[in-house]
Amino acid sequence: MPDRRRPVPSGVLVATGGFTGAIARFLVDEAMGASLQSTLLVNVVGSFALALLLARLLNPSGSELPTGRRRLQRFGATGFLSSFTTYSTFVVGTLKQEPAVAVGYVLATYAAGFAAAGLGLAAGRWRGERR
Amino acid sequence: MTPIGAVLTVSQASSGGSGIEPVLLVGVGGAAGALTRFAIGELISIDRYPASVIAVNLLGSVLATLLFVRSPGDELVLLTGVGFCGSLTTFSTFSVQTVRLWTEDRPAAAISVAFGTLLACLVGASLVVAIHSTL
Repeated sequence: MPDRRRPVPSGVLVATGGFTGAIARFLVDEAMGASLQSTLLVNVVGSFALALLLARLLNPSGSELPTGRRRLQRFGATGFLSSFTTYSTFVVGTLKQEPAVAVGYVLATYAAGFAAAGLGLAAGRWRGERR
Repeated sequence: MTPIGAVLTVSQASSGGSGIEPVLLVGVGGAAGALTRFAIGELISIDRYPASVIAVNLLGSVLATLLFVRSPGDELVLLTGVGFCGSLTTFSTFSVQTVRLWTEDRPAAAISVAFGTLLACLVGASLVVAIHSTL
């Protein structure tokens, strides 16, 4: 069946994704109280979700993504999930701490973030193979 | 010598009080931040190396630190700090790209992204704090 959906400009998808992603991050901050923990949570959850999404969207043939998947990449990955997580708040939060806490926070964020990204990529590939 | 923690104390800056919903300020700033990150990604394109991720994280971290030490008021912090800088920078793309490089047997590239970003952002932010404290 031919894809009759009209093209949506990438900028619109990225901007609406960024709008909602930033608000979602803000709401987590509001619910938990903006803190090292709330930033750690969004960064770890966002890393897992982005890895899962990108692994599922991956086009093995290397050709251009079909319209629906390209939209999901722009809105969900470049827009929402990239904006849901943040590096600047992580850096400012780290600088505000005593050195020992700062080192612990960086190590915890990196370890949990990379583990979450690795798990997300593996889970996405595994589900992709089973289809 | 002034410890960074003493400079980076939260000051209760007075709000402009325009009555705009905080959620809307964060959302609009977030949309602009995501668009800027997307545009920088299109401009800086180095084959199979996430240079643009390092660039946006450094830019956003320096800007966020500047906002923090200047304390420009609650509404501007929500729009530019939480919204714009928060969305311009990204941890998820950074972590996924780093893990991908590692799994593609490019450990040197992965380590350079992971710790290059951290070092650049901490040095950049510390410079902002140091310069601000001398003014």
